Amino acid sequence: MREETLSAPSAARTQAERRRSVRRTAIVFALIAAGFYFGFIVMMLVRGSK
Amino acid sequence: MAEPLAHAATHDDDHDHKPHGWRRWVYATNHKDIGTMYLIFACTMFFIGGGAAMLIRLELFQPGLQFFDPQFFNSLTTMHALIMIFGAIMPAWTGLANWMIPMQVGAPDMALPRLNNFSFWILPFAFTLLISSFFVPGGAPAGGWTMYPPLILQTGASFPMLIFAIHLMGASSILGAINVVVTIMNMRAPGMTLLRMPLFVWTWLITAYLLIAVMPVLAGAVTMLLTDHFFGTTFFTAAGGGDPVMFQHIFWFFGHPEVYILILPAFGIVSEIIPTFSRKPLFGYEAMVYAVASIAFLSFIVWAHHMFTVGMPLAAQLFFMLSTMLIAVPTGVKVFNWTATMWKGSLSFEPPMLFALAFLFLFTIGGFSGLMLAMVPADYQYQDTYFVVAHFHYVLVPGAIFGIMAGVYYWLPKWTGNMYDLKLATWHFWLSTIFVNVLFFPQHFLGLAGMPRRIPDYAVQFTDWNMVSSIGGFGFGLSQLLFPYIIWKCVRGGERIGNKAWEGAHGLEWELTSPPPYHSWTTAPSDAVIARGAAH
Repeated sequence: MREETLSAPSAARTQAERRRSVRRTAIVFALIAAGFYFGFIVMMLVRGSK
Repeated sequence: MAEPLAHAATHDDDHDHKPHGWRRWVYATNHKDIGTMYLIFACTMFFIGGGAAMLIRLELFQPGLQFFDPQFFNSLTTMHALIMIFGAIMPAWTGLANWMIPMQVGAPDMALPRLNNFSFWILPFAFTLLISSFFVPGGAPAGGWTMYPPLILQTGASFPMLIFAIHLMGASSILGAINVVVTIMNMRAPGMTLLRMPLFVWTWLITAYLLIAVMPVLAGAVTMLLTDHFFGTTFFTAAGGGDPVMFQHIFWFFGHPEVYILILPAFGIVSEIIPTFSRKPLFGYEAMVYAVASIAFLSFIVWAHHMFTVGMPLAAQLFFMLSTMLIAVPTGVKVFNWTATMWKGSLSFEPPMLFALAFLFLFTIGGFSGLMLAMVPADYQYQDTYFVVAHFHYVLVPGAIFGIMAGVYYWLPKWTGNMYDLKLATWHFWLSTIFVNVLFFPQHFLGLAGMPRRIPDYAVQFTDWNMVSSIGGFGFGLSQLLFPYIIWKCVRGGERIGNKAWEGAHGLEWELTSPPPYHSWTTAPSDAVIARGAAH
């Protein structure tokens, strides 16, 4: 198993760090999802109506 | 269980501040409560969608129109599919993810509990809206779950209800998927590396990425339908310069990955169960992870195999045929590894293992008929026949549904602290397995003989196998009543179990008490506990 090549949450990670990390990942994925969601709708409407 | 954890768990139970009564459920932020609500919702939808299926089989018992007019029959097929896919299977997976992922990665809860509440509570509104469309003028949508224009644009007052319900379901799925990704990426216990995660967590992580990638495509497609219907656009109307085939491309770009959204978590569950009841580590853990990732990737480049007959360049037909066949390679790796896990194992056949084995055999039948459908010349014959119906029902019923049942029978003792009635669950298994084959296997013959799908009447030469199929349908439907009864009986009591319900089980969830504490891992499990759990 090549565990050393993969990230594991550090044992020393504090609760605050984890909270920040959760917030950061959530925001990134929310932006990606919202970008896809509204992006697809807008792209299809704009390109389709040409 | 580690000592500090045991203390924390007790402490948490005494002072968990959990709300009581209806507030516990409406304001739920606990992953187990939300998981339970998802599973109850999915079970309810399974019986509503199953009721529609039994009405379909009732109408098809004999040739001629027996009970329903063709419009209502088409509404039944459309709503059966929408309810089963979006209301039963997907929420059941999300329910299992909610219950198990925090416990399996060593987290106290999901990363975003309020979002979790929101993504669940969207669903009852979406399905109330969808199902109530039966009662509006023109009846429920009848253009098929694929919603192909121009037919779907002829839907009556229920059309905007359908579109809005689909947007709601999509939003719920995306929010749930974000929660799963954030939880797995951030909430794993120290030492729980990616390649120590249980296969169920892996398959759900990949499923979540698929959801985030493809649900917006469906949203875009149905929004274009909405504007074609109400705002005078002609995206899919040939008379206005639009192209109905474009909808099929967009829909299936969503639709094929959707098939894997429905089945990948079942791969994860089977990969948990077979090692447990073989009393051996999973054969080829890393290969399984890469195989799931490969299947997910390939699912994006095969969509046009659903529409070979619309007419496309030969090069495109060849590309989509060969890329589809390529999926057999990682799928074959998985089937080989499950078989190799059992090889020389000390096997026992409790209900979860029985369902997992039925999955292995019957899902493979669905895979083989999928390969037949992937061949362009053959598909020209099979397109829109009952052969296709038989194929995808073999994938989704003994595939996805049996996977869900296997998972519930595997973890139910952990959730409740009680062992369920094993004898009754074994009865449930045998009745389900026999009737599911009586129900769907004859549909291969009907399709090969030329019976088209989505029709309420048929030529008399198809009568015998339709009768057999309907008898199988009634038997399968009725035998499912055992499932909620077994669960209800188990929740009310039964033989108490320890932390481990099954002798050969590995994984962090089995280190917790049964039932587990309100917040699963308030203190992270030690590395030794994690290593013991990751027995692959």
